[in-house]
Amino acid sequence: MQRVFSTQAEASNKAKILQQALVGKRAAQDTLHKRPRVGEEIIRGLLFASGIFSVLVTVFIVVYLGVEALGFFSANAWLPSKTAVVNESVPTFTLREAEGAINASDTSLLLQVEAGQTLPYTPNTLIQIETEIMRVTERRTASVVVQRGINGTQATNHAGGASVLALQEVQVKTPNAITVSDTEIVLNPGNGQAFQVGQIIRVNSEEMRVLTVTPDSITVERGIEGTTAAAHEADVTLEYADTPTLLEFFTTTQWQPQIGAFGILPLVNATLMTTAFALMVALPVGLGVAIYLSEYASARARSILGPIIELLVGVPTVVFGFFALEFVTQGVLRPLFGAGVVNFQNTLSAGLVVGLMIVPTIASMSVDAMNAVPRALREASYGLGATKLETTVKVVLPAALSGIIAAVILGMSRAIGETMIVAIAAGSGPAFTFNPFAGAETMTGHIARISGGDLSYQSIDYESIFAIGLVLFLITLALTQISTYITRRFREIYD
Amino acid sequence: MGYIQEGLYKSTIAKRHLQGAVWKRLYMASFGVAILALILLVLTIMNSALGFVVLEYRIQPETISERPLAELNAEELVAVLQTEVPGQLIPLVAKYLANNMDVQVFADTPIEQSLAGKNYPAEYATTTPRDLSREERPLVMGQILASNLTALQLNTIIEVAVLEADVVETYTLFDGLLNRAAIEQQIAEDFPDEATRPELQFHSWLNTSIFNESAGDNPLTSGIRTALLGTLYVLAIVIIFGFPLGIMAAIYLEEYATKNWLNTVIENNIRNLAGVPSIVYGMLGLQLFVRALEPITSGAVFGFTGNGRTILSAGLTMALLVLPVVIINAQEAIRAVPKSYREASYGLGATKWQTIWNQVLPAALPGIMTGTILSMSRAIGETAPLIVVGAATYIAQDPDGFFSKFTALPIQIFTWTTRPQPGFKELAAAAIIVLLILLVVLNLTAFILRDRARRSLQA
Repeated sequence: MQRVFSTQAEASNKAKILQQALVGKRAAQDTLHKRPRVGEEIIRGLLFASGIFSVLVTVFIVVYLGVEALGFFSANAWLPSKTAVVNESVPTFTLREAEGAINASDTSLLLQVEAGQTLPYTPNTLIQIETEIMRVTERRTASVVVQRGINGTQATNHAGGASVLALQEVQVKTPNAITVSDTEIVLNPGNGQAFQVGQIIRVNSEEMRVLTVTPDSITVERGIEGTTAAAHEADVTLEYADTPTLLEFFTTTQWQPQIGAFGILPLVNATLMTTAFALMVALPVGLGVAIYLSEYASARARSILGPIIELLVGVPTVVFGFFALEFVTQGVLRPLFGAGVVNFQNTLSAGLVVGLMIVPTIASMSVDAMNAVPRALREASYGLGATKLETTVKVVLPAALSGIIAAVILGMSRAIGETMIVAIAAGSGPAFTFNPFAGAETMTGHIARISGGDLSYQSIDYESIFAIGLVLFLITLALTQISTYITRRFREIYD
Repeated sequence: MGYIQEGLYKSTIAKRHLQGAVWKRLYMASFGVAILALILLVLTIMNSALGFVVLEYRIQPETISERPLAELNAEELVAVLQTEVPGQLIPLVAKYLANNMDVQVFADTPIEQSLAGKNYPAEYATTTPRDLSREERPLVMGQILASNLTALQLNTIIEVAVLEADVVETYTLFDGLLNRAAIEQQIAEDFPDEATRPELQFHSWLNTSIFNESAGDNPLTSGIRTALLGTLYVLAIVIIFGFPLGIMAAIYLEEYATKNWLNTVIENNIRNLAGVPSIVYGMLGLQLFVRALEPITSGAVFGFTGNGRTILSAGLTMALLVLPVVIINAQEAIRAVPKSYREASYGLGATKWQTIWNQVLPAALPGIMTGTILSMSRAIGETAPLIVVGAATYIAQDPDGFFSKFTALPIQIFTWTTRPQPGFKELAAAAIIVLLILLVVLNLTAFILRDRARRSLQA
């Protein structure tokens, strides 16, 4: 190859290198290596930066979700302070004589009901017997089921014939105006029971900490949490701060952050239900498809049928959502079980279609796992007189098990993270239910619905979706890691 | 040993073969379930997109024309428009012929500019619609409408603009064909007055007008125009930002990365990113692009106004979403290039980058293309992150750049699917068909490229 050197100096330099090459190989190499390749290094740096970028993305995800989720756990939902007073308009009932007597642990109250009377205590009504306050959880014809000793009262024994008073909750308001320097807030008699020592309360935009509580007044520390003390008019509603705790977040069963209900369980439950239904479809179908493609189908059939299954991957999830709503619910479930039984949005239809969506994930990864099982194992099995089915079930499947489990876990992770199908077909409101025909919103569906509107960045709703998102992220991350671990750790290597 | 010698195995052999045959059928059946689901999916969509509607007219068609509207030609239909709604002709032209232009802007723009490429009377080329006299306007605009639109398109326009048609009820194709008598009886009960009783008529929701119309309140005049454009804009951002970054990362990992802890972290991290739910990317986009980088994504530093919920934010979020897919696919394509290519290049004295640029990348290109096209189809179909980033559900104007508010095709489908008024679900089905066709074309391209790549590397 001819090369033209631009300058004399360069030419002589090259000549020297060549000469050295003849003299000593080692020395020539050193000279060649000394030549700096600036362009190459810049390109290498750029490429490295793009590689690092993906790590940055993860860091951003963790940081942003984490920061906002922390914001959620320190955020305050402001709820009006309420106190329970006797509702005069509701007739008073009494516990039945003798058999109506209750001890501190009874939860069912037998009441004296005349023929034609119905009990006025709807669920969630507060009732009072002597000094104890209870919450009605279920109303029957002549009895009610209650939660005993709430609002700081003690469950005690009550004799038969004790009268039952219905209570109603009223908002606590300031009867008098408050000046800038007041530290005592006078309340209407009895309203002090709405407050606890240490509670953060809010009057207009000023936040205060409750220091002492008497039945008729509270003393407070004014202008805390960065707010400033200000004068307030009379007749202003007092609000108290409800801050979510981790325990409440993971154990209670109502999710409505604006009113201080911070239990993520209804959302998690709906997610688990749709995922379970999804696996009911995806496990048999996905594995069946995989076994057929890998063990039974001819090479020609495989080349045609494989891409058809891959087509399912390409279908956008919003289309699957439409399918779940229009076909599975309207066309199958409702005619089958009755329109009265099957809600328009239900977890079953969403789950079944999510299952359909993850069939290709499970199938293609399982096919890969089964293809990796060496031919020799199959032939040994045939040689011992096993049929094709026996070879498949007793030799190939156990050998490929780790890959198949990894595939199922990955499919599960996709089912949990799937949003549009459940947003369209599963439900549009959190509900804690195990009924597959009832609508219930999943974690992802809730995030999508809440963030769909114009959400204020300061609201507790906004921060709450990041708390859900963090839980979701951690679950899927864990599943992906487990899947990777299983494939690496339990892979059978036949070489 | 006796088992074989005494032929005991023969007693169970029939049963074992039967078992084998039964299970083989079951495995095939599970395949059938998957195919059946796919077929049912397509049928459900077709069944909704083509169907029957009951239209109620505020004004009866007989009162504006003696002959049925369907029999009239374009000129006669325009004449109807000119007599019934003379004041609406300019907005109609602006909407249907001038790319959905704002009416005020259209009125002040010379016709040759606003209607470039369309038919218009040459003598009015340099005049603006506002310059025309009150008498001239309907005449000229009518002439423009008649010479550019088909009779069918004009018919739809008249139905909505003049007759004020409203969808009362919709029926699916099967329903309309099989239960026709029952449906007509139902209509007769709902509309006792025979003179104004609406008719059950066939309506294809998938028609050319949905490409010209934006989302609106009347399903008859709603379309996917802004949504489709929004999707294309978002896709453009993904191509500009996502693909180069992804391919570069893949080159680094395959060609430069040595086995150390940092590269293992990167590698492992990418697998994890691929498993992160898409909605989490949406939340990332919301925090990073919409809020933290608002001055850039809203275009404020370039003198635009508005908030960060723009096409740029959406596109960047999507770019992050497809990044792991692009990287993994490109890595595989690069890995498939035989080592001998590189060695031959080094042997000729090429540097590392020269080898990558001149040998590895051209050989890996079809494979890389396959991966990028597949991730494009993912970007087109993803909905959840766009909802979180803040897609607007109702935009009538075409997007005019990367800093405008956005909506996208799947978002539009989602919105229509969840709307209770009759007609929108069917419209969603029509939009789904458009979306699916787009995806099938992309996937077919990817499939062909993959096939070609495999063959050329084997040869």
